[in-house]
Amino acid sequence: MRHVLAVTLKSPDPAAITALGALAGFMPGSAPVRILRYEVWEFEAECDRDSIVRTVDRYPDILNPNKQRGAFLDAELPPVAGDGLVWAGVRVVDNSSGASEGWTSLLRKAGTGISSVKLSVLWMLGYPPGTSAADAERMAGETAVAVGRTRGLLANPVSQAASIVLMDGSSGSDTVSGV
Amino acid sequence: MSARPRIAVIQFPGSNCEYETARCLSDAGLEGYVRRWNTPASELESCDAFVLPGGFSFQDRIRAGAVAAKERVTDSVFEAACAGKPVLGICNGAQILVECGLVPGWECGRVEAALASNHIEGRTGYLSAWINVVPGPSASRSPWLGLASSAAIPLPIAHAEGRFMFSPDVDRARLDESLATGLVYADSSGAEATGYPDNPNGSFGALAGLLNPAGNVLAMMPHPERAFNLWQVPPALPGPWGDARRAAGREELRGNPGPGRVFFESLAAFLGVSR
Repeated sequence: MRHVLAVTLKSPDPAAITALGALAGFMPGSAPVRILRYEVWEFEAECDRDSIVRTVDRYPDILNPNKQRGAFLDAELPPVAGDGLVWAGVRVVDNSSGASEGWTSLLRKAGTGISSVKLSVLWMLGYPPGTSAADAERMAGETAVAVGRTRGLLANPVSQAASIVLMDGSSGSDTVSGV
Repeated sequence: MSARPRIAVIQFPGSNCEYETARCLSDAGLEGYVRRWNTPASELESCDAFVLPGGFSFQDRIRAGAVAAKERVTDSVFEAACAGKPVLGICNGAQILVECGLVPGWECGRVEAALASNHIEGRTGYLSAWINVVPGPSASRSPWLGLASSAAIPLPIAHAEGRFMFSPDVDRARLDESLATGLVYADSSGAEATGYPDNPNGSFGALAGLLNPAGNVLAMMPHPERAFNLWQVPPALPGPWGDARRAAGREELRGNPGPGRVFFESLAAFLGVSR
């Protein structure tokens, strides 16, 4: 069974703020007006979600309740506040991740019932109200992969893979500790 | 007024090796000076070379080097590199040059490589250690490597993202043929590294430094400025540099060069500075 946990800072995310400023500076035509950043933990496990929550509670490196909050995703994207913005997600995964392998090894050895862990970063890009879904997808695509000095930012084209995910309104979430 | 060649060391928010790097340049007979990332381009036009020092520019946010590569000051570095001026990126500076598309520079300005998280059998994550490098087959054409011999050069590394990666169609032969192989991790005898710990991060082709096709841009993960003087070499280091360190008296320690000096003196020789 697959369980996807999205973790974000309770305070404004410095990397998201930096990305917002950088994109506004060198790609003003495609820059969003707001960016949220999530660390996404994808667990493959035989156990149920309660067991995953207990594991997460034991490892503050996954979710530190003093500074982060997390939610299990039942859709591709986490729900965001209804501020009228049009959201698109850019999910960035390392092609060869020592961190994912390390966590897989650690949680397997700990007997958690988790068989694999895949880490990624989800950038939620918010575009002004009225932006069409097609335009949001195009602009997110333009910012997703750093193909050149003045084109793209969020993923390196060699070491990472980026995918665009659009908000379809069907997302739901379960809250884990620290909220 | 100094007639020495002027080398700008660019300090980004989070750089932390800029002053020692500038001092190494000055001690090699050049005029190294630190300029912040928001320095107007007009103030950088007269410099003869650039160094992007180590550190954590923009706190490594998004990806190491990714934000600094988009900064306006990097336009000046990019234009200077394209005009043939020497440019050196050390550690975080190397990450910036990769994210700029200046190295390997097969299609200049296009990002064709990555410095990914350390990942090799036996080791992952941040690593601080002394390693050995040897120049690549055509590295002597580079202004930064002109005086380097084929002997192993021991240098310190300190990074978590130093693994050179390329697209799957790139092999080591292409790197060598395109003269991109600047520095290669090696053992203390100078033989190319075949695994950890000689290759400390799983870098493709045991690559420690990458050159652009013209050879004037070098992106290297080890820190030569931390091995400029003999006293910086650990006494326990095996090989001739360790021997020299152990045999040195107080006066020799104070004055004798370390293995990292060759990069700065190569540049000085390239720019016509006589010692």
